[in-house]
Amino acid sequence: MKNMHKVSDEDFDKLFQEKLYAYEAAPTEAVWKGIAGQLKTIKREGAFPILRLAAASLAGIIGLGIWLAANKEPIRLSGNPTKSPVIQKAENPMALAKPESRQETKSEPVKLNLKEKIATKEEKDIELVTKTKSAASKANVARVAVLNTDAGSKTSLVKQPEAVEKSLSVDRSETSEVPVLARVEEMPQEEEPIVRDKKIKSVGSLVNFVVGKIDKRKSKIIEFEDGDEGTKVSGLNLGLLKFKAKE
Amino acid sequence: MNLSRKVSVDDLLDGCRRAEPRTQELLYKMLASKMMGVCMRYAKDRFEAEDMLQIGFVKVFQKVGEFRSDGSFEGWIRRIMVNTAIEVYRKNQRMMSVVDIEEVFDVPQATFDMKGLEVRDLLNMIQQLSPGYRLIFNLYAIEGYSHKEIAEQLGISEGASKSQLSRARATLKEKLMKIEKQTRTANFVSVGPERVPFTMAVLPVKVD
Repeated sequence: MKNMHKVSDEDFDKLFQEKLYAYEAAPTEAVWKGIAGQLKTIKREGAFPILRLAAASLAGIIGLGIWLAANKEPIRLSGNPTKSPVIQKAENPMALAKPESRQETKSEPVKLNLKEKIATKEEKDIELVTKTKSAASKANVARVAVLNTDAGSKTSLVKQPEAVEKSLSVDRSETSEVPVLARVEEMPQEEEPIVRDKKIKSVGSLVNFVVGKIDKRKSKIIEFEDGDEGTKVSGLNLGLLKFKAKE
Repeated sequence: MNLSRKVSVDDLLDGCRRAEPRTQELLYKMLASKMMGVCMRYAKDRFEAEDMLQIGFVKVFQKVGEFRSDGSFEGWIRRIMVNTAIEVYRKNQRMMSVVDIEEVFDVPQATFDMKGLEVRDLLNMIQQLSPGYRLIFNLYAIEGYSHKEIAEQLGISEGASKSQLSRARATLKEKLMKIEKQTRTANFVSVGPERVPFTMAVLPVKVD
């Protein structure tokens, strides 16, 4: 060994550098496939995550709403399926709702619904309306109509279109045998605008309210929570898949 | 590939900034072999090198918007590959491996006719180093980083960087000496057509 040239550290490093700095090696095809796949995933995940979540939530709520609406009749035990022909007859609700026809017996279902609407707003009128309703069902239809105008004459003209809609969606003829209490309970559920005024402070709470109406489970299909940083999803319940933020 | 040779790497910068898949693929094809060469030096084998290459190029395409044109685009990509290698090392090691004193050999200063050594052989020697030695030898000897830069990158002291480097060199020299011995023996014994491990064996040794 003594007869060999000494190599300094610098030269030693340089020899490696000269040989290896520009070293090239071809990678396999799998590497580009992996890169392209990763880039696609990143692009997909990065594209509007909030909008996608909102759209998915909305679709879920609408879907559930439609499903529950389709099954509404059997659930609402107070309904009288035999009266459905009455609804079908009211093909021209506006004609029934005309003020001049109020005294006629043919327009009786419309007027009674009008009464109910008023009754929900004015608690004192509830008993009166329901009583007159049962009375009307027996015989004195014309007289009931007159009584109704006492309670609702001011608002009847304005509220008639809504009342007509009610009469189409819910079967409530004067001959209905539904108990008074059951019917009074039902009304607030369907009067969405009234309750909406109380609770709606953000989009999240609006969705909570709507979901609360159609999903009676403890864990709703979706729940929003208003926090300091805005509204965020606090719970999901998609059957098998459940998520609940800590309280 | 002929088409890609006509386009320079810098020409692809704008397309990459717009995240155009075709431009990204073209850039990759132009630089894949070079960057694979870089990764091969930092990795223990080809599989680890390909993993580094993939991670590095994904970073390049993600961070291309941050590239400022004060240096070359290719140089910037190369630095990303080196940084990726450092990250992979850190992930694997968590901390610099402390080498036992017994492992370090005090190799006498000797000459090696390394011009006769093939690139592949030198690469194998580097790949056989322990991860810490390999990383520091690569950064200092081949990339040209200073000990200060290495210390900052790895979160170690400059002294630790220096001692790791000298140990890495010692290990490499020891490997070279072993190889030299083997080839000398093989040169005397073997006269057949078998490939001698290193061509240095057949070159004359300089005598004072």
